[in-house]
Formats: sequence, C-alpha cells, structure tokens
Amino acid sequence: MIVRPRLADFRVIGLYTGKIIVGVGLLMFIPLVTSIIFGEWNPAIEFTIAIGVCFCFGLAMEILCQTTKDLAWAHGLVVASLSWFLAMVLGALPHWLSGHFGSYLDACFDLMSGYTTTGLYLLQDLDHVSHGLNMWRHLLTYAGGQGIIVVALTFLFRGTAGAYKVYVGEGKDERLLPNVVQTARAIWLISIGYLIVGTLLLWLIGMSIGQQPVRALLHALWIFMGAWSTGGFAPQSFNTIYYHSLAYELVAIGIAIIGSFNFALHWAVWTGDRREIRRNVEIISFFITMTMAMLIATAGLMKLGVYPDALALFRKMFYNVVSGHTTTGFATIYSRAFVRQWGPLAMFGVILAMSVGASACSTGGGFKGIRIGIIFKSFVQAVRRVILPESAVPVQKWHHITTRVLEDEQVRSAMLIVLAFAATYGVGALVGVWHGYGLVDALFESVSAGSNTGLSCGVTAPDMPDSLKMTFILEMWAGRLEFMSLFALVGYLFSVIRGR
Amino acid sequence: MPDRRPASRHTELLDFLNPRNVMTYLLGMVVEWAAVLALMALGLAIAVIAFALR
Repeated sequence: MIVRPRLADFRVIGLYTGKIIVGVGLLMFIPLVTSIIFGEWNPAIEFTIAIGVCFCFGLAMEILCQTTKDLAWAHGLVVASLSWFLAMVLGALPHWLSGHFGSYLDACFDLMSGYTTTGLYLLQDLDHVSHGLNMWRHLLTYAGGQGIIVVALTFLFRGTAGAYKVYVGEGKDERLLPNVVQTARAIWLISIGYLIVGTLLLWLIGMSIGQQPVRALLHALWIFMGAWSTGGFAPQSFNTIYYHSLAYELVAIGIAIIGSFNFALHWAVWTGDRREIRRNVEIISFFITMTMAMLIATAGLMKLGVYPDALALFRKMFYNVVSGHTTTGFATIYSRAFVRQWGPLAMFGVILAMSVGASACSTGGGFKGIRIGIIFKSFVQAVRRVILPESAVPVQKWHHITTRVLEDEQVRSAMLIVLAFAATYGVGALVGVWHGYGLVDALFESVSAGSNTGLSCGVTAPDMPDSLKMTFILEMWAGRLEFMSLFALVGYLFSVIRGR
Repeated sequence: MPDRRPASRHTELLDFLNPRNVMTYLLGMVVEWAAVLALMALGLAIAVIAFALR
C-alpha cells in the first residue's frame, strides 16, 4: 500500500527548501555588488528584484512550514531535487530580465546548465553581457559545483542529522570529516584555496597577453570558476579560443583536471596522505579511460590529417578531450568543427570521455571513475573465478581513501547508476534524432547534457525545439543529482495522488 | 601532518590558517599539479608518437 504523505512531511520539505531558496537569494548579492561597482544600474535593479522574490518565497516557505521535525531519507532526497528545480526557476529571473534570452525557458535552460556545471547555453550576444550577469553566470557554476545544498549546509543549516540526508540527495555521499556541516566547510576551504591560487595564475597570464588589469582579473576569476567547477562557461562567445595563449589553456585545463578530482581525495592529499593520488581507484581509472579517449581521438584526427604537426595536434586534441573527460566543456575549436573537421571517430573519442566523466563527490558529472573502477574490478573477479580452482574464493580489493573488499552490493549499485546514465544519454539522443538531427550529433549533444559537460557540436542553439530544450534540462538535472533524488520526487508526487 | 580530528566551530578557521597546516595544504596542491603534468606529458607523448608513426 502506498502511504500518502502527511502535512508534517510537507512542512519539513518546505522548511528546508525555503532555507535553500533564501541561500540562492543571498548568493545574488555578489553579482548585485559587482553591478553597483561597475555602475551597471539596470542589472543592479534586476538583481534587487530577483533577491526580493527569492527572499519573499523562501522566507514565506520557512514561516508557513515551521516544524521541529527532522528530515527522513525520503524528505532529504525530495528537498534536494525540489530545491534544484525552484532554484532554477527563481534564479533565472535576472537572466530573463536582462533581455539576452528569447524566452523564460531559455533562461531556465542556462540556469540549470549553470547549477549543474554543464556549460551549454542559449544566451544571446554573450560578448555584450553586463559584468553583473557574467558574475552571476559563473558564480552559479562555482556554487553548483560545490552543490547548492553544500552552500546552504555551510551557511544556513545547523548540524542536524537530517542535513546529511539532503547532502546525499545532491549526489555526494562522502564525509571528509565526521560532521556533515564540517565536511561542507572543508569542501569550501579546498575550493577557496584553489580560487586564490588559480585566479592569481590566470590573472598574471591574462595581463602578460595584453589584457587590462581589471578585465584580466574578472576574466581570470570567471575562467577559474568555469574550470574548477567543471562548468565551462566563459565570458566570451569564442570560449577559451579567445585568449590564443597556450599558457592560459594549460593552466585553465589543469584547474579543470584538479576540479574533477574527488573532494575526499583532495582532503586526503591536502592533509598529508600524498600516496593516495597514486593508489586511488578513481585516478587510475581516469588515467586509463583518458588514454583510451585520447588514442581514439588521435586516430580519428590523424586519419583525416586535420593538424599539421604534433604540437598542434596535442594542443587541440588534449585540451578538448580532457575538457570532455573532466566534464568541463571549455573548447578551443568551434562547435561545428567537431562535425566538419574532427569527424565521427574523433567525436566518438570525445563522447567516450564525456560519458565516463569525472570523479564521484567532485564538481563533475558522468558515470564517475569510481564506478568504472568497481565494474572493471568485478570483471577481473569474474575471470579469476573461472581460472582458479572451484574451491578458491577470489577476493578483489579496491582503494579509495581506504582499501576495501569488493562486494556484490557495490557492483550492483555502480551498474544501476551507469545503466541509468546510459539510458538518459540514449533517450536524449532519440529526441534529437526525432527532431531531425544526425545520430552522431544528437548523441554527442545528449551525452554532453547528461554528463554535465557542455561541449557542443552545434545542436544547442536558441532556435532548438522547446521539447529538446526541456529534454536537456531534465538530462542535466537527473545527471547532476544522479537520479535517486529525482526518482524520490516522482515517487512522492505519485504517492500524493495515489496514496491512502 | 595536520590534525584531522574535527575542530570546534570557533577554532576551525584558526586551525585552517595555522602556518604548519597551510604548508601541508600547499604541498598537497603541488602533488595534485604533478598529476596534471603527468597527464599532459602523456597527451604530448601520444601526439608525438602518432606523428612519428604516420
């Protein structure tokens, strides 16, 4: 029998969702201050309106849903998915008011793309966007990379037991420290540490290639945010080709690689366990799948003779394949060049890289290295079972922070999520093909959206059909939250209608 | 190696900014950049070998 949720359940969901919406409103103060500093009065008014709406909505939910009840697992998952949806709808206000979008749906698309660190965008005339709106776009990816729940956990939640359930609902399930609020703060400390170092490096390179100091600083900050969060937003429509600098490209992609590492790995390495980087299953898996993707892309590019020398090949192939594998979405070639220059084989290499994606509990998306590692280990175990004598019981181990014995439950869980990702990629591609796009193009774009990468081969554009925009929004949302929270939300809605 | 035990809320920030801890964090960053350089070297090697075998 399906049990219909009671008023107390809605109250606890409403209370925590309200807190997160207030958090979104608080975040908007940063672009508001940016707009005021640069004398951009129209964007300042737009952000003030959006902050007012977020505060009214969030505080109203908090007041109406006052309760002392703590979150249960189902509540935590529903809060995570619901707050991401509402944060998209309300966070899109400054986008829509800016006049750079054809419709509110387009603004919502960019918001979901930002929060989920995807990087696909429908914004028009990017090169003439205000500093305030650019700050908001990049801040979205930076906050979304850590997780908007993590933002709220850091600043707004007390350390209740329920807090951990919302944290898990956002697709992160590792505690760096015993307390989940301290874990959230540790994630911020790592991100801010890299923010200072990464921005400084990019700022120096920016000035050395001729940018004015203030412009170089803003670009450095935004490119850092896009790289670290594996978001891929950039302040210019030419993305990172705009800078025409090998040093800028290498530092940006280096930050993206480090951003794609698991926060638990960062914490281990940062607190002295430096051997972890050589032993961790996700790093080993990342190096292997990355090598495979680079070999496939190189084979495709060499077959077509796209680049004249090894350095040119390295610069383009490495950057774009790594960008795909870390699910960043920065590009140093034009969107249509994937189709017209790179061809299907090299595109397949990038699709493989994007679908595997980054590490678990990182800013990135995709299957995640830990799952690929676990599935590979289970294959090894299956082969060993066949080879060894019948009486032998092969024990397979894998290492992530601690060495663990491979269990069936871990393999089942990894396979389930990988299958869910594969199905999502497939459905998106199907919708694309139904709208008349070529199979490779549709698959490329669908994998890019579902794995939260943001590389585009030209399908994503303001004139794309609305149903495809909505499909990609769903893909980005589901991929970022790793399905469980969305399933919980759907289940909750179903129980409201059919429960007793 | 810094103390990994959870610090109290009031001492958390001070603990993070402790110079000995900051040095350990910076060394951690260097190790992570070393991994990045290794990957870049791998990419460059693939490109060079591809042209050598052409």
